[in-house]
Amino acid sequence: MLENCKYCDSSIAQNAKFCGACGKPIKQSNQGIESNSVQLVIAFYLAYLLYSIISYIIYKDDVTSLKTEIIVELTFIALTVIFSLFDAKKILSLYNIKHISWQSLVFAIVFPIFTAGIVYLGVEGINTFLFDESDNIFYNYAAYENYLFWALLFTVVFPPIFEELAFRGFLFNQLRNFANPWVTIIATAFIFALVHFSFISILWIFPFGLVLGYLRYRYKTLWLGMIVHFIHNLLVLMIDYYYFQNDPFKDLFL
Amino acid sequence: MDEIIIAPRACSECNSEMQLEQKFCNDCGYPEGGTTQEQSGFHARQVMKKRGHSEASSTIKKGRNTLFVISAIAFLSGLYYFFKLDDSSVLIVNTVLSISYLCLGFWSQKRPLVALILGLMVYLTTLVLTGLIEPETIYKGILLKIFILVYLGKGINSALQLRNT
Repeated sequence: MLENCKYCDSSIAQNAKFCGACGKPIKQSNQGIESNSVQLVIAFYLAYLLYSIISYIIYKDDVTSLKTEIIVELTFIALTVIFSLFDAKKILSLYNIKHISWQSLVFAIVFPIFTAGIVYLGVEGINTFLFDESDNIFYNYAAYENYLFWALLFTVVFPPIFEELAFRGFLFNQLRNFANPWVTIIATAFIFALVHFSFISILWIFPFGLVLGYLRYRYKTLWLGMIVHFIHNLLVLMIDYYYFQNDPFKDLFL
Repeated sequence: MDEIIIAPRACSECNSEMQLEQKFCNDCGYPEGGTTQEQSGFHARQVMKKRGHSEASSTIKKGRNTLFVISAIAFLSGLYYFFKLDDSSVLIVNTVLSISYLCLGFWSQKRPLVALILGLMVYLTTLVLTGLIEPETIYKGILLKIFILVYLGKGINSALQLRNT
């Protein structure tokens, strides 16, 4: 269908780059949308860095209480939700199940079983070997009453909901405004790995993020990523819990 | 009687075919049927655009070179601390960082905007992390740090402009 020029209303020839009657370019410039998205991506990252600095300072004092823990978690949630409001309509449409196939669902359930195993055996081993650190989460949570509940809430329930919203929802959509799908998948995985602030974890978080980004792109939904993220975190937490229960010195932390 | 066939015109700027009633070329926007003033205005704009392009390209190149410079700094400081403190974890972390900057530098030849944004993010993250772990290092080499941030920022801005021209 032939279109008319939006400046002078003359008819435009097919494949024309400029209007033959007034000389104005046909293709609408995306400059406004693109620069807005670049600014939002950088602003989101800066806000996240600032949040991390504040959290680090709070945790450094080592007198963290459950109350500060809740405030820190809620701050991240608020940050994510505020940024998501800039693109609310598009993000809300990602909470659909229209494009999910049973194969993708099976994949979303089986894949995290492998990743949890690999991460626990491989990466935790490297971490302990190189940095002489154990990341068992229960050494931090054991002091709280109902510590299993809080550990479940903060590491199994919240991250799949809000990290998926932040990275595969908000960030993915903004990057997609100035990059093609593959570049967007790679960039979101890269930023996802970067914000975990653990250089060794980049080895597995980056490919993990690539898979989550691909699922978001291929099936146009956040649900699959949330399922993968949820099962992965749940399994890692359960293994942590098992080791913690069998730690002969665990009473020192309670 | 022979039918009069009017040969289609060609744009004198890009040689694309033009219809008689067309004032501007569909391909390059040249005002073939315009006044001399309009035509010289078009040429002036083209020169400005070209200059803008080459300026943006050179700013992007500076941003790319900045990524290579940070890559070298990360690797060399990793080596320095490895020999000074005998700490292999610093060397490993800095080597991973150095390789990341190197990859982003090469990627910026194809995708300057995204590669430079990611480079800026990695650099800011390392500044924040080292600043938190060793606060006394914040002011160390502050001028160099500012230069790096400015070059990366300007590179991002030019990459964005170049996409839309």
